[in-house]
Amino acid sequence: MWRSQRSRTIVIGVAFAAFVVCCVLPIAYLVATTLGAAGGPSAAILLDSRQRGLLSNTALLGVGAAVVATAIGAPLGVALARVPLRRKALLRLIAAAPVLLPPYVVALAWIYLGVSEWTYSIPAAVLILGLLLYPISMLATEAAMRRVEGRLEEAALIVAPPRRVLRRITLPLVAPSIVAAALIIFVLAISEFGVPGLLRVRVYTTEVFTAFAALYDFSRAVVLAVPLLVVCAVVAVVAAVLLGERLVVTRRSSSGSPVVFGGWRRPAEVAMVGVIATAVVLPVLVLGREALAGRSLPAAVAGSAAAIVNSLSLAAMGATLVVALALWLGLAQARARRAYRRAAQVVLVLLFAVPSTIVGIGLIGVWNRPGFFGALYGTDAMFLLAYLARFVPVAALILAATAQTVSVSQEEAAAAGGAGWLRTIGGIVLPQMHVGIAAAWVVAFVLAFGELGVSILVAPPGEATLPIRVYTMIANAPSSQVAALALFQSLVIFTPLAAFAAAASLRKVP
Amino acid sequence: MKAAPVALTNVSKRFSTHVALDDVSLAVTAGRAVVILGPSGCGKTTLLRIIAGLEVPETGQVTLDGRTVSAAGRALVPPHERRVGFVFQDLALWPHLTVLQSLDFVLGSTETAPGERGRRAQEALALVRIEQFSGRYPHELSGGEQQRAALARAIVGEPRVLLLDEPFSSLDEELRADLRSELARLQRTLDLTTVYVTHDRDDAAALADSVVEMRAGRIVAIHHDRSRTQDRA
Amino acid sequence: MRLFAHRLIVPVLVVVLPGMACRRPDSGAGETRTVTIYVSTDRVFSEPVLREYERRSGVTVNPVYDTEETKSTGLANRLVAERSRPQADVFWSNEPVRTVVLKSRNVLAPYTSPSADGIPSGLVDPDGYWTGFSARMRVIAYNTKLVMPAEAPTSVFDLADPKWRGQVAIADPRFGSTSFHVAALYAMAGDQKMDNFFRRLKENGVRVVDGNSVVRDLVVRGEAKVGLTDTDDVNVALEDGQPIAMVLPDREGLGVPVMPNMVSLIAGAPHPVEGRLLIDYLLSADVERQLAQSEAVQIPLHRGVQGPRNMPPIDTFKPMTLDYAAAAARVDDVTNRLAAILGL
Repeated sequence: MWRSQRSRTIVIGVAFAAFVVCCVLPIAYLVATTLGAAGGPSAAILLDSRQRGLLSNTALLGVGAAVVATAIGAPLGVALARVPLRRKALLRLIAAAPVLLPPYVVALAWIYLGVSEWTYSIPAAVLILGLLLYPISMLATEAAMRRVEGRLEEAALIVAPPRRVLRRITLPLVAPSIVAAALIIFVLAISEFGVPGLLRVRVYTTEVFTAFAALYDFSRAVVLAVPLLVVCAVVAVVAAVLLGERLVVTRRSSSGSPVVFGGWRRPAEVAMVGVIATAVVLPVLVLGREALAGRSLPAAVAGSAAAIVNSLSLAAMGATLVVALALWLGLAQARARRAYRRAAQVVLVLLFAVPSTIVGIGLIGVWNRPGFFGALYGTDAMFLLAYLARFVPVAALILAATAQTVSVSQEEAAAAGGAGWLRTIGGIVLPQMHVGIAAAWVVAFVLAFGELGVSILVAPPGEATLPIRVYTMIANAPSSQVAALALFQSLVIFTPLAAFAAAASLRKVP
Repeated sequence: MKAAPVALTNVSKRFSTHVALDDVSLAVTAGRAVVILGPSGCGKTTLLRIIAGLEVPETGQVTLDGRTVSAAGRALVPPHERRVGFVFQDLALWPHLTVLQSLDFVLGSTETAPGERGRRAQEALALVRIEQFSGRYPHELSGGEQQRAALARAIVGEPRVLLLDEPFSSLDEELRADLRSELARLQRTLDLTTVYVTHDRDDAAALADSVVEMRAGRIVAIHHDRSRTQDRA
Repeated sequence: MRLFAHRLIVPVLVVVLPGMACRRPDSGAGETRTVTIYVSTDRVFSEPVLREYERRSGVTVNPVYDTEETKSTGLANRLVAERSRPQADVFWSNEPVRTVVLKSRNVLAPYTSPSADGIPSGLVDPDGYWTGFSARMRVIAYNTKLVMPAEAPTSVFDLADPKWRGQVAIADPRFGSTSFHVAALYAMAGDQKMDNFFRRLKENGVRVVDGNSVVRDLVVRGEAKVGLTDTDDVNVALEDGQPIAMVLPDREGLGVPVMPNMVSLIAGAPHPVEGRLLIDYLLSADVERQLAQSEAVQIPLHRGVQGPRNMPPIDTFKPMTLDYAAAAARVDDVTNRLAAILGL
């Protein structure tokens, strides 16, 4: 037991130290240097009149996008988990695709599609972000539904119609996962810059961006990020309170979907196809039309081979490192006392919401110095450090939620049997978390692949990832070229994921 | 003559290549307890699930009180309209509901008036003697209490037939004997038509009006327990 | 298996990070000479120039590209953040404001290149912190199907005329070349006149969009009849055969706003010698010719270099006589004013 505790302390301690260095230090550094600078920025900028508008816009955008994405995604997740849909793997893959599309470009597609004054409004931004981010809710809901012990539903189906069973039994059991997904969507929505920037919706991210891009005022940017983080903290706390301690340990269901949901096939398929048509086919068609109207695609695509290889390998390495670190944080968080656990959750949400430019500038401050730290600066390792800084928090949130579904008693049983902590984790806990670990890896991979805000600030000279290349190519390019490159970039990330999904679904066939 | 509460005619069911039920026919008389006895994997659980409507038989038909509920590979009546009570092997108590809430969920799905529900729930809890635990969540109950809660949930809707799938298999012998006699008492008090699946001969001896022996998806023998039947008469 | 995969992670961490450190681009400094340049001029135009320099000089160029458009916080922030331990040797900016800001933040070092001979004096910093070359201009673009050449606006101030109500597009004036343009206008015409102008523009239903290329696209599609944008953006559409034409604004009054590229040496540059050589090359007539002949259609500042096809030579119009430092000094204030006036 003593041995077990010691290895636990060491591993968690090392992980925590790495977390502080990778994720907290850059932000703390920038805050300390800018706010500590002579006189400091005036907090007065927080009191000027436009702040109230920014605050409500930011909250509306984040909550709205989370609600829309959940309203679309959660029912689709339920359908994927319970209704015997035809071509389910294919439907899931295509329905998940929007999260791979660069938000900026999808917003562009909607602008091409129908311009009215309404396009440049918060409701439009909410709708576009909802249509981009619903796959997160869909996949989280499906995964959670698949973890619900099938007997619990059957016991209810014996006495109640399916609709009531879903509402009263299944959904409460998966609610923690749905709310956690909504929280992640909320943070992604309010830290998104491209869509509100393009639709001219004033939110804190665009304001922070302006402080950097137009005024080169680091301290103003840092101060303006504070309200953004306050909004996040409030939402994270509300989410934690809503959830309470309802997270329930359930075993993986042995039986497949109950036969009674067969009658839902037709409406579910119609809904699925409808969402796919709106969120995937329509924007891709519009972009495709724009792309074909142009003439410059080959020039931009040619010569991207090195950047593609670079991006995919860096994203894969980054996702692996992110998960490797986040796993221990998630485990520690899941086993911590309730108050600590909630505090950790709020901190992770906050870190994830810090605007990428702030992280980037902070990373430069921390790593661009003489000595050991400086050895990594100017190398590809900076991409990995950028991915760690940005995405460990979200991966830790996912993994903590997964770790909580593994019963503590199993860990204790293994420890009582004399297994060391690492052996217990490796042999008992991790195998039960494999779906969550895979999900965290894919999320980190997708996010890392598309990362631009930090990468472009710390990319070593002469090196580029695909988003940096695409982005610097399209800076002033005609819209046709923007569309073509965006489709190209989406295709590059979609291909390996589709292959991965195909391989996974093949393996499941006995 | 009144139709049997539960009747299966030539029912077969396969799972990919494994034959779970092979041409099974069985009728259960009203108010009687039938114990289906057999080794694990003999198809007895599938039999219960087909009666409840959780599985669909490939061939043959199922009738409840003379009404055909499953026939020729199709479920004609969904589970919740069959009025069966089911106690699962692992109980499947809903972890997010208290004992009372879970009974209320069952009653809320019937035509019981809202005002009636509390009284009916209390009655059911009294029958299984766990009135004092009505406000507890499943994880706050002992093993025996959980069994009683599952039983209460299964009978509160006044089912036409009670189906039990090895409900006591995880308990120690003493508790098991207790609950067994409790169930026998309950069954007699309520005059409940009961189908009870087990691999334990003691269970069968304590509970059965008839014992149906199964092997590899087929019924191999049916014994009528005269003593119990005569007791009752 | 999963356990195995898991045990791999720590060794991967240990191996990968130092391994990557070894991939430092200039780690073989002894053999190949390298120079690092941060470039905000569009990559499609700047990359061929830098490749050509590599070919001619044998020096490896490590570029970092970015853009000062509305989608990125840009290289200037990176240069400021890296000030304590600079990574770049040279900064090549596509417009003047950023360079002047960087000078004020002590990021730049003075260097007077011999290649700067012949570049007009207003386009070279008297202290030597920057040198201008190959210029673009801010222009009024109009749709030739909807607007006759004779009725096209000839001054920026015409855009507030009610006859263009709802038909004018400009890029967000807080960013990119538009921020330079409006700061220059404020510096030259005065706050009151400019505030009034932008108020009338707002009342006239001006469409503020996300970048100069979007302005160009709107004009091409006829969704806006006229717009304020850059010469290179218009040229892309001209080459494409689109119904667009441009007017050099304020030829009569304030003068045409000219935006040179600017090149500067970084203070504390790790490769100062190579940096100076690269600056000498970028300021050469050869590069100005190359940029003039590219789709960037940039106007050469050296006398005697052949200019681009679609553009008038620099000595055929009156350029805005502008103190770039004065314009740059106005950027903060003007940004805040316009945010309020235009509701950005």
